[in-house]
Amino acid sequence: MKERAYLVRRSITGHPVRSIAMVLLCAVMSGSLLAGMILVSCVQDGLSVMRRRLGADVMVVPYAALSKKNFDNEFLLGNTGAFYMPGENAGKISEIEGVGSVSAQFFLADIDSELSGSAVHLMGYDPESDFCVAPWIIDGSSGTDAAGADAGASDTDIGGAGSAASGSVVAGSEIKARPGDTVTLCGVPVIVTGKMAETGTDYDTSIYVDMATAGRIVSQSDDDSLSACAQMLEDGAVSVILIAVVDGYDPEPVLNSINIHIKKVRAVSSKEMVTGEVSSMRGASLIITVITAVIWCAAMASVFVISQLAVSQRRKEFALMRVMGASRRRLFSIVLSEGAILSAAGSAAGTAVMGAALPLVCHMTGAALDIPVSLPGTGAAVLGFFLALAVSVAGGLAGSLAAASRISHMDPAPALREI
Amino acid sequence: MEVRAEQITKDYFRKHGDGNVFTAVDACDFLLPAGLLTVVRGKSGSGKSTLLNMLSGNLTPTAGHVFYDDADLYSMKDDELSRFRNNNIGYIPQGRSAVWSLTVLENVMLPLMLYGARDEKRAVELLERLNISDLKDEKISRLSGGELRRLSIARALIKDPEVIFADEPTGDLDDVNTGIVFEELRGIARSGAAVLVVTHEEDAAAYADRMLNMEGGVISAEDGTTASQ
Repeated sequence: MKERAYLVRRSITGHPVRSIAMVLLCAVMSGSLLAGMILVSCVQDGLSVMRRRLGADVMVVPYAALSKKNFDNEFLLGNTGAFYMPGENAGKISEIEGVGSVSAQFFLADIDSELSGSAVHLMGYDPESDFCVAPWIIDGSSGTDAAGADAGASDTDIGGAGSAASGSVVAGSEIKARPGDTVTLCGVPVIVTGKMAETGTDYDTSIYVDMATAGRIVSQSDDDSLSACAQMLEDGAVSVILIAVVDGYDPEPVLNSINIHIKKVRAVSSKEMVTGEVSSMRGASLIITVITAVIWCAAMASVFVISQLAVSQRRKEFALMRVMGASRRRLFSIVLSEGAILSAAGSAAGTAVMGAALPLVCHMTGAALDIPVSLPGTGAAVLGFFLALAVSVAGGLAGSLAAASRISHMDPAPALREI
Repeated sequence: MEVRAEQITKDYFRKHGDGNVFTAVDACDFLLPAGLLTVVRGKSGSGKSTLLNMLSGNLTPTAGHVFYDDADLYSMKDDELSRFRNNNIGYIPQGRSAVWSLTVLENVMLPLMLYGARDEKRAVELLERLNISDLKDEKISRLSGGELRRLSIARALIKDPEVIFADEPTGDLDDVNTGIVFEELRGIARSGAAVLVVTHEEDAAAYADRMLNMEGGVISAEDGTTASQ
């Protein structure tokens, strides 16, 4: 066994070009398969993230917001922008037939901070009526019961210092603060009460504060970026009103009713906003699947061809082994072992490299498609890894199987006479 | 060990040409005695290599039997026959036959390595006997034709077989190396092995203890005896 393993090893190292080609092809097979599976999963998860992000069946925004470029995408990604409408619209909307829950949000500002690598979206919201932010909280709470600072919590100063007051402050997943930490927003200290899960949207770089805290920040801050919204806040304006219709109710009539009866606003169905995205995501999933399949099949075919060529070139060697006393079974196992080692090495390398690059690849795909992406959980990723590895090893083996079978049944005498 | 063939014949079926059957070896009895260098001489296509391969267990005859003492070669299954060949038969193929990814020493040990064994001492002894021990760690590509042929002889002897077959062992060698190879094969026969050489060389008769001719698949002896005597 040891000597046969030695023969296999020497054969692999003795034909470096062929061996490297096989390893690379198997790496392509496994890497492309893993990437394809995870990307399709990411895209499909992105769709469900978008649906969950909305939570609402209908959204009402000021007319002016619709002129914003890429409104649909940006809104779906969690960025409402500095647009305002009267707050009493929420009350009017709640009286419309079919309306179940109503919750308003207020855009404060996009601020530069040390809490995040990119601009922080500061949003006001009503924790009592909210049904969009709360579902994403994974640590702490919305703070409606007033949270206090934890022992050992840190202070992070964005623009000033002072004593912190309680209120609802919910931080996105990329905000460098956890529940109990005191952070300073535009010079006003606040205590973080909750932390959201990663959404793959602008939620991740947002901080949601209750309206009282929003008012305190605006009144106490010297930050010029807040001056634009100070009056709006005082007037009770809101940026967006989110609506969940009564169970079983069709959102369409609610939407139509709002558009008819409420002035200078526009109601849009979340399903309508998402539909276009659904189509493009389905298209993206299909394209990714087709490309993965094409790459995999091309690599598989190449493995088959290289395996056949490799044994054809070595016909005389194998014929020599036959006349030296190697049985068909032994010859078969030598050739198959070579294929197994090369396909295992290549498949492992491909899945390892692609596994390491996947976060970047998923992120780039999300950016290119303008959709939220979230990486699969550890369990799903590990399953994907082993599935890609197993399928690619099997593919490489299958390519070698035909060659091993052919060479083991070869008539050695004519092969030995070849020049 | 006595090698004895009874009425072995080899037919090939062809799609084109006169009739469908080409007879490479006409039915014949053959005896390969131990201790003698037997040479079968004939032109290309005479059937001599086909005869050699049938006698050495590498080509199943269309009809007939090959016996090694009482063992009927072609009644064995492939695993058993392969093992039998490995243990009892040394084979020297024609041309440049070697495993190119192995060194000279490893090529000599190939019959051992196929069954999980290794005997570097024995391999080096054989290389010394054939005057190529200084090449033991070389790659095969660096060997000349004569050196490669001597390697083949060393490989055929690694398990000290009782029967040696050599297919055109001097086909691409000069006169000097031809002489060296035939002398070596005669020496092996003198040591008690049964040695069969097939060749087209006219000079082979000078080394042979027993000379046979083959033409058109039919074998005949020069001295009036038969191939089975």
